[in-house]
Amino acid sequence: VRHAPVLVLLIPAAGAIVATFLRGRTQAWVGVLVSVATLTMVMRLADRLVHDGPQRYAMADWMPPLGISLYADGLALLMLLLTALAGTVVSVYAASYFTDTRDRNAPTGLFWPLWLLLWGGLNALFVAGDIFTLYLLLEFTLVAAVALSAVGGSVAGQVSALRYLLAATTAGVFYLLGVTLVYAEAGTLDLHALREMAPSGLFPTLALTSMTGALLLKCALVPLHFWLPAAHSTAPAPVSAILSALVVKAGFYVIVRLWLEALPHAAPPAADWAVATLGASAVLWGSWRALRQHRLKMLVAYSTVAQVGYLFVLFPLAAAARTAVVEATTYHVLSHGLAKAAFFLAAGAVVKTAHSDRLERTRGAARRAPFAVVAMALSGAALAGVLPGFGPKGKLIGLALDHGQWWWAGVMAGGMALAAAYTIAAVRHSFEREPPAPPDAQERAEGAPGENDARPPTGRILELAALGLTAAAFALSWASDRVLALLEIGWS
Amino acid sequence: VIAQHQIFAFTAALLVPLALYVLLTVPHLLRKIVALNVMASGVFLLLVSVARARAAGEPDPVPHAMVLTGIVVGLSVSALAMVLARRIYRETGDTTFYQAEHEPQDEETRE
Repeated sequence: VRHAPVLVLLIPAAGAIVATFLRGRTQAWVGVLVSVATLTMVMRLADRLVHDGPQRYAMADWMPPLGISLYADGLALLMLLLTALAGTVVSVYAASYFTDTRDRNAPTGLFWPLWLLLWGGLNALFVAGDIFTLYLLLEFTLVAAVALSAVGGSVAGQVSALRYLLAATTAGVFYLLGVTLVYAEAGTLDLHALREMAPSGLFPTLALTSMTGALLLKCALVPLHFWLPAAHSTAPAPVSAILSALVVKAGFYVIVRLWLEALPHAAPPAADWAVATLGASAVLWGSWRALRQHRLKMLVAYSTVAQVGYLFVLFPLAAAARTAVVEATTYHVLSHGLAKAAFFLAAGAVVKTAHSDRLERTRGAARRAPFAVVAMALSGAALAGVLPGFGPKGKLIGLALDHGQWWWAGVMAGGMALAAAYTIAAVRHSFEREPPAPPDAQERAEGAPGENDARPPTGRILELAALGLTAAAFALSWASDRVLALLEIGWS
Repeated sequence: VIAQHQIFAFTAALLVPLALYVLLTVPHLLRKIVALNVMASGVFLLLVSVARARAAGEPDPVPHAMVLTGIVVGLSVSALAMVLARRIYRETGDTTFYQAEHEPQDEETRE
């Protein structure tokens, strides 16, 4: 498995090409199979990293700068593992979610090629070794993500997809501008060569500012979140889960690589405080907006805006306690990835039984889709920090208090309370009794006897997938020390 | 005497903010897409200028490879953006975001 670092991205990419020529059930089966194969390959890579340390791989044995080198360390591995675990469950869910459509030519047939391409792109991004390859993969994953968010086919979906594309591509141009400035100053693009040079001065500072601004838009930090709620909530449920749990994290991952590895001395003064202030406002504003929504998936999308904020709150501590901050923040990336994917999958199952996304129309869902409602409540609880040791939020708050910056701790505690409140808002109606059906609906029900009662409209697979990911989020908290120990591979 | 690569860099410094201004202020979707391409061209021009400025003799080939790859990215993004814009136009008859967004939305989702 010398080629494991490149196979983790080639397997889903090849699967995407095969899936393009298939339709219906065959396509779904191939999709699930490729997902399991990718998960297996990521596990093999993990095994190799644990035993032999970080892996460097030159594609086709071409050396940089004209060749492309890959680099897999502990941080990359954890991102690969999160994507593989959440991705495989989403694939199983999607196989059930999309195949009950009768129309063989439905645009949802595009889901599998695009999703597997996106997965390959994300994996490539996590092991990319230089800042220009990172640019290409940010754009690659963006195009796949935008096309995915539009597969539902609704006009609202197309509009939000185009807005997402234009906003994020503009950001991409600013990222490339930063790459240009770095190259003009340092003459290299390689992350590790840059780390050894540690460039500072006008160009690197301008570059880091430009790239950070671009990446903040891609991970939707307030006030650059305007495109996210519509794009994430109009997409079909499996796509929402992928976008909210995984794709926004790609932008954050690149920020960590730039701030803490490639350009550690290039940050403009007080930039860490500015970013943390934005993070804190995101926690409060996003949670508050989530609480005010009338549509279930919109609520979950605003919850993502809030949860992204936590990732930035501890940036002012990064200089003093780099390892601890990276550990706590990565913990939050993983925990939110699993819990938010579970939340969106569960919401999708509820929306499917209720035939509506409006909260007051989800009455009776607790009876029709009990596991989904339980998954929604528990994954919401996980986001609120109801986990062993209060989960990642406990770690983040502890760190802030240790360094005497109690105000960040206060904001995060407030965010946890608001998360509990919007989780209750999300599930509250599910436990209410269903209103009596209007007369014409009753007639229709009589015309098709038993249809209303007997249907488990989606099968239990959707619900169980959501519940499984929720369980994974809790399991992560039990084993957090062992999982985060992987970070030490190649991270000094 | 102003060197050629300095003219390139100066032009790039003009193109990027101008294109960004158009991108943010003009509502027509197609013009937004064109503005985005102009902005990207500005950065490409800066890259070409860097390739010249860094090397005394032959220009540095790495920025050129980056420009070529960047052009491919720009083409793919423009193609996807135009497909989406055309579908919005066909379904709403509108060439901006506004009408499509302010149309009364369906009560039910389409799932």
